[in-house]
Parts: sequence; C-alpha cells; structure tokens
Amino acid sequence: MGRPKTIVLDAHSPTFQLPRTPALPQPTIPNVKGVIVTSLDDLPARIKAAIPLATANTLILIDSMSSLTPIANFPTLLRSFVYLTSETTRLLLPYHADIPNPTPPPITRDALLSHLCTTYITVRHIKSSSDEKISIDINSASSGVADVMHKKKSGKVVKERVVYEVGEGGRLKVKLFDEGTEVVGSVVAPSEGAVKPPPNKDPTANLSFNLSLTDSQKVARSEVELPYMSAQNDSSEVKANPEQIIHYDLEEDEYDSEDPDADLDI
Amino acid sequence: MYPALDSALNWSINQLQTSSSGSPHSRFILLTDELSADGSFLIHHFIGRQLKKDVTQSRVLLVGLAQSQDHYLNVGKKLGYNLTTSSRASTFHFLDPLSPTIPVPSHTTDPKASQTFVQSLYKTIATKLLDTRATEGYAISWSLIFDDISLLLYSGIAVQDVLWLVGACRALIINLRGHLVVLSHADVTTTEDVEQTALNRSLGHMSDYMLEVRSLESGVTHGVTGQLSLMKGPLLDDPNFHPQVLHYTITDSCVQFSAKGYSGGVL
Repeated sequence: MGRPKTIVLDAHSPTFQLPRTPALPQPTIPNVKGVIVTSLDDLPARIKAAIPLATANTLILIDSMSSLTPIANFPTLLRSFVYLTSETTRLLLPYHADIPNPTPPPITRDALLSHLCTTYITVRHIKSSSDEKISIDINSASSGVADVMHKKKSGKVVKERVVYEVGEGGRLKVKLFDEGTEVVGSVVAPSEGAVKPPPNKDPTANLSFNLSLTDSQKVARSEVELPYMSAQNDSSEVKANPEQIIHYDLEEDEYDSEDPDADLDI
Repeated sequence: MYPALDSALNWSINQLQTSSSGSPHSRFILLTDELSADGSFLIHHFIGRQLKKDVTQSRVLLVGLAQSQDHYLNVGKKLGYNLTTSSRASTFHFLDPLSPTIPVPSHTTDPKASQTFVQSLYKTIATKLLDTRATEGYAISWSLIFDDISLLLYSGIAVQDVLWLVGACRALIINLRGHLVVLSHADVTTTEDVEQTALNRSLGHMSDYMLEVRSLESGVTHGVTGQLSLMKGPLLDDPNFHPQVLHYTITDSCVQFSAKGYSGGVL
C-alpha cells in the first residue's frame, strides 16, 4: 500500500465529545488517512509526525485559524505552525478577518498573521468604488478580487491584485488586474430558474405604459419644426452679412448735460 | 408551509436539497433579524414545514429561548398545524433551557460555569436525538431549531461557548442528516456590540443558507412588512440557488412573499 496523498487530522469532532455522550461515527474516505487529535496542544506535534508520512512536497492546510483565535495561547500556537515550514513544506492558513475578537489582545491577530507569513492574500467581494474597472458578475459567490502581498527572500515586497473565478469542478481561474486596463471576466452561465439579465438592457422593456414610437410617429416627429431653429439659422446668416445687424443710435438717449450741482453756490 | 419561500430556496416540497443519489443533504440555516423586523415567522415556517412532511419520519426539537411553549402552540393553530397533537405523537419536542427554575451562570463571574451550562444543554439535545435514532431507526429526519440563540449571549454565556454549542449541534445534525435552524439578532444599531457581531459573523461562516429579515430601506409602509434577503452561505454547494431579495407581508393567517417591488401593497 502506497503512502496516502492526503492526511486529515480531525481536531474538530473531538472537541464536541463529552463524557457519557454517545460518540458519533467517523466517516471513511478512500485514499485519505484520518487521524483524531483530541487536544489542540498536541496539534503541532501531530502535524509534524504526519509530515514524513506524506509525499516529499507537503502542503499543510489548517481550516481554519478563526476557530483557534479564541484560544489564549494563539500566538504560541501560530508560531509553532510556522516552525513546521521548510523548503518542501508549505503552510496555508485560512482566516476570517471579519470576525471581531471580543477580548482584543495586545497584538491584533491580523498584525500577527501578516507579520509571520510570507504571502498574505486578502479575498474580498467586488463592491468597493476602487473596483470600477473590474466588470465581472458581482452577484456571483464564485468570483471576486484578491489582493496579494508577497515577501521575497531578498526583502522585496510585491503587491498585486488578481481577479479570480471558481469554475465548474472547482477549477480556479486567475487573471492579473492591471490599473490601466479594464478586466472583463466571464459571466457566470445562468442556470434554469435564475433571473437572466438582458445583454442590452432596455429600460422601456418591462413597463406598464408604452414609451416606444411607431414608424409613423417617428416620421411625424422628424417633421416637427423646432421653434428656435430658425433663429439659429438666422444668426448664421447675420454673421455672414454684418450690414444687416441693427444698431441703435445711443445718441438719442442722451445723458442729461445739466450739472446736478449747478445750484450749489460754492 | 410557504411554497414561494421553498421555491426561492430551491427546495423540493418534501425535503431540502437532495444529493444526486436522492438522499437529503444536511443543512445549517441561519436566520437573522432586527428590532424593527421580527424574524420569528420563519421559525414557525420551519416547524410547520417539517411536521407536514412525512409524519412517521419527521421530528422537530425546538429549543425555545425566546417564547414559551404556549406561544408556539397558539401560532401553530393559526397556521394550520397542531403542536399539541404532535407532542402527544412525539414528533414535536420542546426544550426550555432558560426556565426560571434553572439559574444561568454568567461567564464574567464564573467562566467554567458558562462552559458547563452549554455542555449540559448539548448533552440533553444529543441524548434526545440519538436515543430516538436508536429506538426508531436511521430514517428519522430531525429538525433542530434554536429560537433565539442571542438570548444565551444576553443571559451571560460567553461567545465562544455559544459557538461551541452551535458547532456541536451542527456536527450532530450532519451525522443525523437533519437540518439545523438558528435565529439570531443582528441589529444594525448594535454593530458596536463586539460579542453580538462576532457571534453572527462566526455563525455566518458555518452556515449553508443565510436568511436576513430587515425592515424596508425606504421606510414603513402599509402593504409590505419587510424584506427578506436569501443569501448563500460559504458551505452551500447548490449551483441552482441564486441569492435574491423578497418582500413579505404578514397577515393574520399567513405570510405572503413577492419579488422586490412587486407586492400587492406597492402596485
């Protein structure tokens, strides 16, 4: 029997196992080795023990760190996970950043995680105004934007934004988002029963009153003479023939030459 | 109970979404409401829906934290199902963990007591569900309903203990192939309440469906009571379910659902 490609350490179910409570049967999955971890303090050691059992390149996925954040020694536990990494062993930690910590520690969880990790990926939905150039289905739960921050060994920090979409079968499509270009992703194919948005949205399509024009109405509209078009046309003629401009002689409207202060005897 | 709601959730008449083999999927449905829009009508919907399915194989365990048993009996009569008869037939079970005779500990004074309380509650629930399976077989479909889980928080139970309880019940229900329904308050005005926010968001991350009951954004109107947002939880794998917003109107005997802006009270 070959080495299993996937090893699942179940540290979830044992936490609900209480004395004198009937135990729940554990499911069996083909080609997956299951290990029960009864204490979270033993988790780093159990992970380390499982690594040689797997293939050469190992990915440790801990789902999820949010379940461990209420633990008082979370920083110590996190550091012990980070120490498990090597050239052939990578660590992937999903973390729900939107859950506030009721008892905030001196160092926030976000700061701790971003400090210890080499790659920090923030996945978010497309709702921000800065995402105006991204045009993909915002109502789809399988697409979104990911901001990636990667720290290289040289010390350089690379930041980039990608647009992702999870297709059929869980296939992930990723496209790098460039500030100067508009990203248009594939539209999620609507299934039966879903409301399809029209490709060219006609605002007059589904109204209880009629806003459209018949052919005869369009012809009649085109024949209507606009009231001020003639004035515009006239002004163009006037410019061409300046002699036809009417000037009013201001000399007739004379200013009173009498000195209003003439009666003053100064 | 309400075919329009079942249709919007892509649920068949008799059961929730089924797998390709036809067996029902176990689901966690999170209901949230606010002070101006009470979501308890959904609790009655899920109770009635479960009891009106196959009577021989459907069971409901209601953890009534918000109301007394008489309240649910009276509402059930108006909606067309008799909880008294169901109780006698052992298809409906009521649990009142916040009974005045049982003191609820506060985690601020005694953290261990809070943990002990939720563990004791879980033991009661697990014993009830698993004993039924042992005596009546694996075909029994359970519906475990909490109305409402926020009251545990208000009573002094710590957030992590409440989350532990819901997680344990969820693991139990998955094993029994039933479904879990939890109602929690999520007032917009209490966003500064860190514990409430942490509870609701954590529950949201564990859920398959999130049904959010809110008052109308445009204000109060006579013809429409509020709006119901149907959202996909992170764990749902139903490609035929599409998030949408419905308007609802609560009448004396039923609740009417309509697409947003198309209710009879508006048109």
